[in-house]
Amino acid sequence: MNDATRHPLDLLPFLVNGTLSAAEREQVERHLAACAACREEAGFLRALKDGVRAAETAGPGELGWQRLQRALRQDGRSPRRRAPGWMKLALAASLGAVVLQTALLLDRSGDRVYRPAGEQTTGAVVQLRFRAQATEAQIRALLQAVGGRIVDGPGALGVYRVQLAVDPGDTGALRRRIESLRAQDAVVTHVAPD
Amino acid sequence: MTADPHQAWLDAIAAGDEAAMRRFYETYAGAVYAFALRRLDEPAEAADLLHDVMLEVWRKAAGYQGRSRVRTWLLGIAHHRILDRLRALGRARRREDPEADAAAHPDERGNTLAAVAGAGDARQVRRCLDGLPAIHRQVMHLAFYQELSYPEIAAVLGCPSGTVKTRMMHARRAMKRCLEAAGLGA
Repeated sequence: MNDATRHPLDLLPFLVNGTLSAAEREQVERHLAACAACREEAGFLRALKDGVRAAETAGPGELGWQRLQRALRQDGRSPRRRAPGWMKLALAASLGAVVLQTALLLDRSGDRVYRPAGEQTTGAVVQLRFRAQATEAQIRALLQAVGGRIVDGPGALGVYRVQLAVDPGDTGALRRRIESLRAQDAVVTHVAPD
Repeated sequence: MTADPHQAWLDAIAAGDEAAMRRFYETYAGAVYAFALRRLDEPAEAADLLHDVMLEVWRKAAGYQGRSRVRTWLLGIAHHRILDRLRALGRARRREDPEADAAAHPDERGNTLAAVAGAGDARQVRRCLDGLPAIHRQVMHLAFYQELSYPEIAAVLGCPSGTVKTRMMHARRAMKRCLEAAGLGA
């Protein structure tokens, strides 16, 4: 089958998305000029391309960037940002305050509900999303009730990873704990094993 | 190959420029997220994958050597991350079809008007896309959403160009069948 009679169906999607080489495009367009069936097919592919683009969902947007920015700054490679001398002093003071607050927080090990992600953990971990209307007091009470500690998050979609005081191998206990979390539907909207 | 205009951003990112990273994120986050979502199905998984890919860009921007467009390089990173994630989830081979060659011909085209009517409805297109085997959905996404050429899609997926064209033919036929049914049913 030569170029004049072969239907270039394998190239039509790439004619429609505008990525064929000049030689391929010329070959396909020459065929289309003489082939009504392929012109119709190209019309379908154009409609399909528009449909595929419209069907895609937007990403996490600004929340995703903020999450990434936190990670960049924890990454150990200093971002290249120029700061005047007074800002450096203010930054040093803020950092000192953060270190102090962190030390105080970690010292209250008896009732803490947050544990840094890098710290050694042993309990089973679940994914949990809180209701937007849930108060800090409700969240704290819930975590304390199930022996839970936040070990990561929130992710871009507001999901936290929460470590429970349950042996990961004890599937029955874990299932019961998840059921009790799900029952708290005034505070949480989503609970799933990690 | 002409140098990608966004290569300068990667040079700046490699030097630790956070503002360049932000511009890069704003430009490409949507593309990476949509690509990941097409394969992982879960918005939370796709958001996590986007985060991981962008963090890898931050750490490895100096590794970009200008052999392909920045978009192709980036989606190649995303593709490998997606495969890692699918393996971890135990569903790497979900709904994949054998690579039989498609001897498609316009005579098989059926009711094109009905298919075009279906293609105008984004929800219907999404429903039909979701019904495709993952590898076919992926090439359709890369061709029509990311607007990559077939050699670029082959580079992203690490397969021959002929395989890309074959998968696209399968995907096109399946989408047409699905959209025809929707268009006729309307």
